Amino acid sequence: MDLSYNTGNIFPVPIHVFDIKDFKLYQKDLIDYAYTLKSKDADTPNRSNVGGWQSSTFHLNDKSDKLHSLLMDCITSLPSLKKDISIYIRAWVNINGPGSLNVQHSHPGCDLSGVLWIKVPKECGNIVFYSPSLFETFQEIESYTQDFKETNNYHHNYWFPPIEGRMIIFPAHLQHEVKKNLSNEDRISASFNIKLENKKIVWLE
Amino acid sequence: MDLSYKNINLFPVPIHQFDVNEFSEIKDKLIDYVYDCKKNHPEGSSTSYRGGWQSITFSFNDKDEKNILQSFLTNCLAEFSSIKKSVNLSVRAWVNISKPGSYLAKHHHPDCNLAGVLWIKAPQNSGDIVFDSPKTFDPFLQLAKNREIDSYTDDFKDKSNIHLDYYFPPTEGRILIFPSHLDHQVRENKSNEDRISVSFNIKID
Repeated sequence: MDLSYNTGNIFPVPIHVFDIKDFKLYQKDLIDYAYTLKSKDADTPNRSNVGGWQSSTFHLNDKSDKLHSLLMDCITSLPSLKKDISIYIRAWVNINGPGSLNVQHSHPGCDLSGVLWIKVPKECGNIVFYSPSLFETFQEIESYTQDFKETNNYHHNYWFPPIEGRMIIFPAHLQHEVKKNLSNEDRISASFNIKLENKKIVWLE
Repeated sequence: MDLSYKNINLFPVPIHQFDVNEFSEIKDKLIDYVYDCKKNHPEGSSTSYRGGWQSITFSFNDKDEKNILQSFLTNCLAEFSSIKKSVNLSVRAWVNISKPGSYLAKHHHPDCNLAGVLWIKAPQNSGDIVFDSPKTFDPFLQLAKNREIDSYTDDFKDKSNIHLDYYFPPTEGRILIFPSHLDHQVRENKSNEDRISVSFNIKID
């Protein structure tokens, strides 16, 4: 039979990736920033981290602060967001020492989440995202050829190796984990949650 | 800051599209086959079709090469090249005649992995198939998902196929195959003629 076949993808989960090309200019200051914060804020409770340290969360609102300003400059550059959307950001710093990890979790109460990798030795732990339709699509995905799955990013899960100076932003509902730091050094990152608000919303009196 | 941005789409919903070239050569035979089905079983099957007629389902497991519809669909599915050769597909199908004014309410296809439709006769305005973005039962999570999608620019949404729903106009000689968990509906047939299609469920072994 004379047949043409193709596949179109709809309803994907978008992952936004920023690379700060001149990150070397900022890296040392940000590492010092993280350790200074830890020295002042050592006794924070564990959240998703097992063995690592997470700072308390803070609003991103201080343009004179190195970390605030770097994160705000990146996040506000997100070209796929409408111009009339207000964004509110809370961030925190992570220091995952050797052997530490973050268990699978999502970020309820916000709309987008993200991470900036500041110091990432080799094998210090990939971030792994899990398909939101893991249960329903398991057999379907198993039936596809490897080539099809790779061409379409259609997998049960998908991981990104951490890269210094890279920031990724993803939907806050997306389940993810950070694998164990198998290096001999600290893995340092800054994470954040974003709440979106459409300025066009009119509140009824 | 020197910044680059890219977007990576993960975990999409793949829609497989087959177009039968020179479909007009077989169209009339398939239309006759469908009306014969209705004549032989006018009671059809009781379903969610509002105003239309659906045949009872039939299995493709017993290959009947004399059956024009089974033979046609079997030949099409043999070209489903994104499925591994080692995978066995069990197909159950049924025929639909949607008279003017009929429509199909929102539903999905449980107890199978993929579902599909072949449009045999599709007059203009005879009803698009509309897929809903995968939903969650958690209303807070759903709100966050909706807010995320709503915050993106139209350009980004169109390029990435990120929408709350997505429709395909019916096209004669076209087969769509989609994950069976995906909620979908068929809009009202606003033409003055019958819309004729074949639907099917695929179980992956």
